[in-house]
Amino acid sequence: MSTIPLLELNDVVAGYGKIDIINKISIRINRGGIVTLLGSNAVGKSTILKTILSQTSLKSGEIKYNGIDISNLATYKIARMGISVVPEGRGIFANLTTKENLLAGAYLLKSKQEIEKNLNRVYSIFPILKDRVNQLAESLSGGEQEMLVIGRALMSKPNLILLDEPSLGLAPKLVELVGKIIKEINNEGISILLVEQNAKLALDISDYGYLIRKGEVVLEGNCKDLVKNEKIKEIYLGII
Amino acid sequence: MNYFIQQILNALGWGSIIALLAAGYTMTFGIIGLVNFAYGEVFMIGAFAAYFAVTVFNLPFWVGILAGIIGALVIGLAIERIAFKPVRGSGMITLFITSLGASIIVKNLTLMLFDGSLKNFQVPKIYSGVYLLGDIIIFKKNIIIFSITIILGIMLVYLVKNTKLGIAMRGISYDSKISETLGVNTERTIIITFIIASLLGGIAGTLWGMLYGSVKADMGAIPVVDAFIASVIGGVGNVFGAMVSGYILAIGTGIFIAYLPQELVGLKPLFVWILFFIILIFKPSGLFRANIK
Repeated sequence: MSTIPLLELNDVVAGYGKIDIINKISIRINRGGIVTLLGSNAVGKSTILKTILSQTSLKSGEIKYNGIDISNLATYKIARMGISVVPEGRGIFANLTTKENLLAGAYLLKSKQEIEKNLNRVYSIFPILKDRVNQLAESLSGGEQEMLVIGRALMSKPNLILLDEPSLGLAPKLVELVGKIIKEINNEGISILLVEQNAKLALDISDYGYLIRKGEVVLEGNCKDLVKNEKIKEIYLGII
Repeated sequence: MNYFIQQILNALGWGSIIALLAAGYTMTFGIIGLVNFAYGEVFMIGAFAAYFAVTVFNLPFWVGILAGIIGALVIGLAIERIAFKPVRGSGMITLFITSLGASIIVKNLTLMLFDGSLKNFQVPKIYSGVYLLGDIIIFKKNIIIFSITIILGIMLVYLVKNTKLGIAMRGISYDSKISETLGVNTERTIIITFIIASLLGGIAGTLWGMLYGSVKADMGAIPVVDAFIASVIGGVGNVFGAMVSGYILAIGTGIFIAYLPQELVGLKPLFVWILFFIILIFKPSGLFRANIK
């Protein structure tokens, strides 16, 4: 088993134009792990994901995937290395049907049998999507759209999925379902980097966590330990 | 009734050319938000390339079609690389001005080299002639042009709806950043879209020469406006919608002129704009579903 982390960020500084949003961030994700980035709104969590995908300016530092430097590599090339993303706000193609959205996720696959197999796998995880197969994605409910975009991320059989606020705007029962599905996906061997404001969900399902504040890591550790941390309890779990 | 049917049949040739141009126009409009006024020049260069092959160099007609396609491809890609790629991602105004500039340069270069006179486009006799159905006259070339367009239309709609490339194109039309996270090389897909659009422009230019027996340096001005209107009426980025709207515009114009009193024939260009505004008032997104955000 390789000891090289699947994904690592070393002293990464990144932002938009002249503005630095994240400042000397170092993060590790081991194979098969679920790592969470915690923090309130606008602290740079999503910017970290976008930097991994080369959607922001990387000013300094390095990003490595499987030991290979992917700093500033084109986004589509990063996707082709086995990284999928579930963007914030769902990011469905509203003009395509449910099935077409899923097929878009299989863009990198060449074999029709493999695409069909992955499609059936997604339908088995999210049976509701099979019922909505020819419906336009924009007509799905919020929860169904979240399932669709997670399903789309699974279609290419990635090694790592970046999830940006998957519980945003979802009812509590759906939040619980999303958490359960993330664990199930992880049990199949897919590593997860999760960005969440919902600290309870994130700490429940993740192995390791980083607390981000003003673009910097202020706290990190195993989630079992973080959940007992007084600061985390006070700020994020509402327990004083 | 026969008179009405005659107008529809007469408009099939012109409708087919507008349908092809509208399909090419809506593809680039949908995928990169480019209102490409230089597309009329791609069409014109395609027609001129075919004219040179067939009329000046006396080559077989099929070589003329090939020349038309190649000519349009070369100029279409040249315009994309020189005028559009450097400003990719800029606002719509910048792209609009660039396309207008490219159109002016190409048209005026052609005028300088070949003047603005009508050039006779030789069409093989096999494509001339009519069929008679009672009192109704069916021009052979209209049927040929219509058949070619329908075949191309079926292929295009299949490409857009059923292939990975088509899904990538429609994904990029909606959100190019998300498409990239799925592994789509958006730059390459944009170039492929321009190639397909230029191909359609070249074929349309050659068919124009076949239909009207002539080509002219400023021939692209009106068809490109009609193609723009058809692509908006059809739903931006919707290839099927654009082609159907091209026929609606041409057939509608034909019927409008046929029933217009002689003294009002000067109002002909109004029809297209009246139809445009009526449709946009009642269905702003177009007759069919648009493919953009």
